[in-house]
Amino acid sequence: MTIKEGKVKKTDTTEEESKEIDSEEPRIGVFVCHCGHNIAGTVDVAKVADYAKTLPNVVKAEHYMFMCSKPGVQMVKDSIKELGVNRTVVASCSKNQHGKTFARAIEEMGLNKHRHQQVNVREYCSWVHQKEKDKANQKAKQLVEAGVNRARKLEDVETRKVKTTKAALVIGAGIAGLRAAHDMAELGIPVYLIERESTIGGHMTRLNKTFPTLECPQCSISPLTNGVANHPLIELYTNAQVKNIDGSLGNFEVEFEIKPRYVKDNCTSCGECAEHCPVELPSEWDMGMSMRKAIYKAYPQAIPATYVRDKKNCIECNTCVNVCPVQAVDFSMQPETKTVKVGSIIVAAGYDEYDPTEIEPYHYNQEGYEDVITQLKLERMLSPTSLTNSEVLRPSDGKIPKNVVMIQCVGSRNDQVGNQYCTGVCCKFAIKNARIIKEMYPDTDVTICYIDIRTPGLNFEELYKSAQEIGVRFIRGRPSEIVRNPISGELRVIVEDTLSQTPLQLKADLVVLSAAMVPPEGIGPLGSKLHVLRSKEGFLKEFHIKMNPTLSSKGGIFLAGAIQGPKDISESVAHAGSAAALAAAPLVKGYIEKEMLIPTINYDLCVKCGLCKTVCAPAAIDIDENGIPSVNEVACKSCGMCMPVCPTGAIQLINFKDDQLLDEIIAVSGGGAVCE
Amino acid sequence: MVKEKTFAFFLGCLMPNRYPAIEKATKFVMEKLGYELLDMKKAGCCPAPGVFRSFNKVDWMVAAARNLCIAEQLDTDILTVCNGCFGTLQEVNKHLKENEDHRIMVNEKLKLIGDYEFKGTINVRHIAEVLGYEIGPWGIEDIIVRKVNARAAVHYGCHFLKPTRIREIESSENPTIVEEYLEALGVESVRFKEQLTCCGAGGGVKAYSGDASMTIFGEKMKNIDEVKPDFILDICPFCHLQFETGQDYLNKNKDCNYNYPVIHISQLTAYCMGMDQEFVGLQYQLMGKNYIFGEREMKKEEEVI
Repeated sequence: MTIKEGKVKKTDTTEEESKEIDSEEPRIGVFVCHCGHNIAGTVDVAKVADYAKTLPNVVKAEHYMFMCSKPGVQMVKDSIKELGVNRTVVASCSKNQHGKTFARAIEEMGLNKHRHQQVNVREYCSWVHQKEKDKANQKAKQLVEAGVNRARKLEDVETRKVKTTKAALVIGAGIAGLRAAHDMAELGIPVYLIERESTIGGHMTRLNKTFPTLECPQCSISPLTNGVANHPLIELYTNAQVKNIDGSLGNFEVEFEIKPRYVKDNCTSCGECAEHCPVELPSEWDMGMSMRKAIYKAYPQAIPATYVRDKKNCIECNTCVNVCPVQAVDFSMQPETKTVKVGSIIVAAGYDEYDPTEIEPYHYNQEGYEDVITQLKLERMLSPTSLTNSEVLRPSDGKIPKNVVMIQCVGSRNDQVGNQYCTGVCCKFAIKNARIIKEMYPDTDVTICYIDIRTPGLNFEELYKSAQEIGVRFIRGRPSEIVRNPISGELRVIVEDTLSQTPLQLKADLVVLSAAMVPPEGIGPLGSKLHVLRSKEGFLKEFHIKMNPTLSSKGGIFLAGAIQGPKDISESVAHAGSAAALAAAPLVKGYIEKEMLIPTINYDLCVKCGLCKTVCAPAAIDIDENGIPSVNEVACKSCGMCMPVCPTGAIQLINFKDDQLLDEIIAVSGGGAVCE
Repeated sequence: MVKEKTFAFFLGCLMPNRYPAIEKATKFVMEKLGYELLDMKKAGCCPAPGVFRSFNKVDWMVAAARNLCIAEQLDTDILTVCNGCFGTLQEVNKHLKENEDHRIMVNEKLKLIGDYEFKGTINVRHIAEVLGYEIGPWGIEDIIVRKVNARAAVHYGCHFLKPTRIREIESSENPTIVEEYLEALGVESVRFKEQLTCCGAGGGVKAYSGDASMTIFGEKMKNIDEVKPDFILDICPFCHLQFETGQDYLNKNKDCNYNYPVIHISQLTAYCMGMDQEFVGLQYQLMGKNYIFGEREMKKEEEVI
């Protein structure tokens, strides 16, 4: 530490971007990693190190088996202590993999971590040139030389603490959103929970039973829904949707709109209004398996219990207004917009059941095919409050079906509809429902047509077996078609039993489609407001599938539950808990550390064209009334997009400045060493 | 741009050899509609989409491309009245337009057999689509001189609509194009069980395994017989052949007693446009030789108003 002077500036001053180019001569240490045979099997690492020694300012060049190991890291540290190395170059794997390891090491030795330059000779060189070793050697030398050139002018970058807002926003109040909101509130963080529908609880409340234990989902979830609704730190907004989101990690400003319920909070949930309402229509919440009025509560246990008026279908007869004993009905209520400041956002927008209409051979939703339904509809049919009195009845004639056929992978594992993925939940719920039907009606034949049965995990193989034991029939084959006899109206499922290679026509009184889980409607606009990436399937994309499946592509925005990809309830709950912990961390700590890896603007060169603002995705460039741009240091994501568009080179990202990159490019393109 | 109101008429194999009445009817219809049909000199077999493609896809494409080149040289779209010819020519035409590698490969081979180069300038059309969409039920009403009072079992066959994403005409799962067209001719179409399945002839089945072909066809006829149509209407000479000879076979070997006339969409349209019944040619076919079209009164335009 004592060796170096004039360095390690942890300035507290905000003023003028520090042009702290080292006054002392650059002393560069180069370390070439073998990575076992990964690099050394193709690249002659000793020769590369020897070559590095010949480059200007290089005071040490070595090669070692595993640079990321403790002795390897120690070599880097020692060079700083013993030789006064003040910039390091490690030629090994990707910067994403071990760049941080070495940056941390030099920081421990008192150097600014941005003085480390990582050179990737594995992915960029040895792995892709295994059959052309001579060329690989040459390329490795050029890459190392480029790294050295780049290291020569590296500047220190300060790390600054940014205060965070101690509050969080959770979008969606299904099982994942509820769990996440509750977990954060328990950590003492105020939570705004907003839900698009009029009630909370999401899909889980609509299920009849949950697998594998055949438990009542209402009983499982109601402690949580009640807990959230009554938590002093949770503010719940139903009928609400996000309108706008500004800001970045630690400090967001969110605007959302709350649509009016037309019933005030003093509603006692007595139900008089609905009883007298003359308008009756199928309940959407119940998938048409029950009727509701134009003023209604989605289901008996709904939270909030306040009734809601469906303005579209209301005939404004005012009966509800007149019969309400507490005068809670108020047609004059207006939409309300609210703006809140939060430090973290959790997106728990859930999923939609795939609409099988587009798979034409199954004729879902077509005239004459009323007896083709989805699993969610079956769940509602079985529920205690359904029109059928919890019986399974054919929608066409109200009779108990003698033959039920379930079709798996409807909208999943199907290239034709563009969904390659396996939803991973359908096998489980189909088996569960098949077993329930078979138990209710032992004389009914229940058949499941599947591609593969996927029931991994504790208790699920057991569930599968129990269904087989009570006589549910399993046929391996994806049905090609559901055909209807135009004379008798009878349905048949055409399928090949691929195990016995027999083409079959299964008589079906009721066909139940196990439809996939797909991204929810409206996720596109929400995703754009959040500025987060989506996967090709349309779900919101996680930061890293293994190491951080709950962070989105944007700092401070986290994903909980099925919005990141299909999940069952257990997985959603676990995922939501992880999201809550990660989202809470910076809020509990009170600050985040932000590296000031940001661009500076040379106002002598700036022509006030404003192009930099147009390309800045995180909207970190502000332009004042005189047309002069400035950089919002906290919002900047260091992407560098502003640099190439600037016509005069006035805006320069620290450590990625034109002359720094030029030095690197000269070596990569074989132009030889650049001194001075 | 190809010539308007002109088609290169691709005859195929079956129609000119077995059912010249369909050819006559088609020429009659297209002339009444104001189209000119050009002969395709030196045209070969399409070649059949099931068999040839299964054995050698490349040569199948080359032979088809040769036919396409003949029409390209005439600068007209191709018209076909056969599902098989349509299946091959439409698919190869679309594929070679989209796939440059295959286009280059096919053109290399075409050079070896003459002055041919696939350029991708034309389209391939099927009579049912020309009548059903281009003329349309709305347009045909002005041209026909009589309507037929009958109930028809419509057989679409396979290659006209399947696969939907290649044909891009109409969904193969629930098609209505022919039914809507027939309605304009006064004919009611009756739905029957498994209406959209194969007749049992295509894909080499009829030639390779007569028994299998007749099992499929027997099922088809059983389903048609349930709804007792006046005749079977098809849009493909190969299906036509299957319905004709198949009924005969079932009568002789399977104790059946079918006698349903089999009528191609061109034949029915020609009759409605005023071609004499004798030229429709039912008397030369195996089934329903004595069938006489029942007439339906045409509403005069004034009455409609």
